[in-house]
Amino acid sequence: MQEFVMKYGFLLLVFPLLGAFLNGIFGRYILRRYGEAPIGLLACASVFMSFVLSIAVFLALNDSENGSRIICNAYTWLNAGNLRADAAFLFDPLSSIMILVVTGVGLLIHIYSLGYMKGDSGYYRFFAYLNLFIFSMLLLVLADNMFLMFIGWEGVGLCSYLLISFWYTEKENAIAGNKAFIVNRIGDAGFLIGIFILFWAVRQGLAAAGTFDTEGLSILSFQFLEKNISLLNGIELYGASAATIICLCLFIGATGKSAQIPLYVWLPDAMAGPTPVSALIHAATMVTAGVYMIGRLNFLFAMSPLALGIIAATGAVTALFAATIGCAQFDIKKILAYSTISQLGYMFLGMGVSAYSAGIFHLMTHAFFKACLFLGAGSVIIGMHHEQDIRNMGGVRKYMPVTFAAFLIAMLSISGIPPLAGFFSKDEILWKTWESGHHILWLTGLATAGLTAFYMTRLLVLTFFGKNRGSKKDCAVHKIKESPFSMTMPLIVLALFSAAAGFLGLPEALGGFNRFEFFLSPVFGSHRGASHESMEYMLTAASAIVAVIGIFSGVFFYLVKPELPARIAKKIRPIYNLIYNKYFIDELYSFIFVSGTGIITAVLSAFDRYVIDLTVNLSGYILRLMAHIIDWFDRRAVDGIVNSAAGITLIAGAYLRKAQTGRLQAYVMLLIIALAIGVFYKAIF
Amino acid sequence: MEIITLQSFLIVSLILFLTGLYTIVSRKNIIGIYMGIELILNSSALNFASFSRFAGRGLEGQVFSIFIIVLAAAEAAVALALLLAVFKRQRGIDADKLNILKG
Repeated sequence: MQEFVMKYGFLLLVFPLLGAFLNGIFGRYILRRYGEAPIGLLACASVFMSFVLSIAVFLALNDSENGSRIICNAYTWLNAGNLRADAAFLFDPLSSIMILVVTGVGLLIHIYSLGYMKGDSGYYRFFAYLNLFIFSMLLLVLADNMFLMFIGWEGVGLCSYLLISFWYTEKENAIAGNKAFIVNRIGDAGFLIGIFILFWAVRQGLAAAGTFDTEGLSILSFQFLEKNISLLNGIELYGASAATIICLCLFIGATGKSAQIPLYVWLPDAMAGPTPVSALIHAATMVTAGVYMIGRLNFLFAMSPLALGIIAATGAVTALFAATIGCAQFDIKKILAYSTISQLGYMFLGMGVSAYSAGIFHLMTHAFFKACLFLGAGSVIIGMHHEQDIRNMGGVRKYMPVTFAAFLIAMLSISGIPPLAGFFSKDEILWKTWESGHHILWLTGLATAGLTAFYMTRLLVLTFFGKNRGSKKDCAVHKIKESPFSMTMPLIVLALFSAAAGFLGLPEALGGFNRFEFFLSPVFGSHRGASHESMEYMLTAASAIVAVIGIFSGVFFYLVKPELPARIAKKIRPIYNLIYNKYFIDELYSFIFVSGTGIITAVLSAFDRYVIDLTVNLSGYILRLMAHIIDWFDRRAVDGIVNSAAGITLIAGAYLRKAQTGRLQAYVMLLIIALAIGVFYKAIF
Repeated sequence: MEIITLQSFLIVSLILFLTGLYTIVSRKNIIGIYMGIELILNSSALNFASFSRFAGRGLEGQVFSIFIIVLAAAEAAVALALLLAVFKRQRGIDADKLNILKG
């Protein structure tokens, strides 16, 4: 089994790439000739193959004695001087969980898309992009070195851009795609700089150690870094420890990709893409890349408590911040987007307090319940004929029972109701936060948990309960019907996972055996602190109670007394407006950065126009003036001399010609006179 | 003592030369001018002969005189041919009218 993975592990990536290639190149032809079925089959089959291989990898890792790590070295990609990067793929517990999530959730979403995208003219394009995304994500996850990871990192960004602006004929979608791409670009610049500094620092460390022997490993491969991370000790850059700077640069990359403060603004806009894309890329997988990256480099981040502190604080603040915005939105997908940002904040909080396995655990459960929520929302949107405003929904429960059931389970899971998955993973993070002594961050997390339960309940109630409020589509009510099986099946599977996945990481305090943490311990090590069981019970109870309070207040405000929220909103109008308008962050960014860039360009344009153009024009003018002077000189002086020489000759000729009389006697007389003069002259002198 | 000295010859020669020169200057007819030229040639031939005679240096001067006579004959032939051509063209041989080379 291990042999097999070592030799053929790269096939995991080949299948989705092949699918993307075939659908991308021949999709149009296949669609016209054979219809939609072969395209969907091809796309799903390629992801299914990857999924099967992922299971194989998982089993191989499980049954190996010492094999916490299998490396499949496909070929040497770069080898230039000290820089070497292999196209090598790292299979260890962490990446195996990630690829299971990516291919598993990916497969379900592919199947869901079969129904969701039916009849779209870009059917083949959609699946080609989706397969390409799976490939890039697997590349990111499986990469054995920073460079390969960066390729995947950029690849998922590209696919995200392509899929957000999938319906590019509408300007709004194209702008949303651009926004995502540009904001991600800012983060990616940080990521890239982090890699550069890391490379430099490791080289410095090697030089300080007096050796350049890397035992045949690329110095940016995770294997080498993990083993030799102590080389970074004492390396300083601008007076700060190099590890801190590297971690912060990489974290900037993570905030871009994983939508954290301050680079989260693209994610809500990214909801312009098709709903399966929102589920797969902007909820379950791609946005977790930053979390995964920190987990992958945990040994590096462990060297910088300062960077970890910043990560934890950013995560906690983002979680609370996004959750408050989520309470006042009306677009079903936007609410889920803010919820995603909030949950990602949790994961970063977990990472920041060194609870890596808790963070990854939450990443996994979040992938299940958030994908389920998004797919449920997509199902509702399709059922409501592309209505996304929850003010115009309501009462959908009766028409779409399966969607409702799945949505309910996922919603309870994200709210943290025991014993669903979200409860365990979230509680794990909160407990670890408390345990590490960050009590304020814990409180922030707890408040976020309450808010999460509140706004998810609000979403559920407004969408599925009460009467249908479809104002402009009154007649549409009768046409609302349950989605086809290809769409409900993934919902059911995901709902089951969001209910049950929590038992993988059942904390010991609750009588379980944290399998998840144990499985990941080769990567993260075991961080088993002193046991505060009574404390843990209390905190667990607290978070469960907060979740229940959140749900009850949601039910109370939106189901029992639906007129109350509007009254409260009116009372606290300024605060409500602030939250409703997302704290005016978009406007702030647009004011500072977009207009700032505008001002800079205006200044530069003015500089070009008035300084550079002026200089150029002035020198041109001076040259022309000089040319005029030289022309005048040529015309008057040079030509004048030449012409006057000719003129003088002419005039002289005119006079002299008179001497040539043509009369013989005159000539002879002249001759005689000259002779006479000559004789006399000779005679006298 | 000899009566006829070198001066006598030179005087005759001078008279011939001046006569020829006057003829050239005063005549309008080209033939007249030509005759003047002949006189000048002959005066120079006489000079050659007389200097040769009185210098007592052989016959070089006499030989030159004969050359001059021969040349004058040849020149007469060419000159008369030219005159005929001029006459044909100009319908006359007046020297004053031969002014096509006037500047």
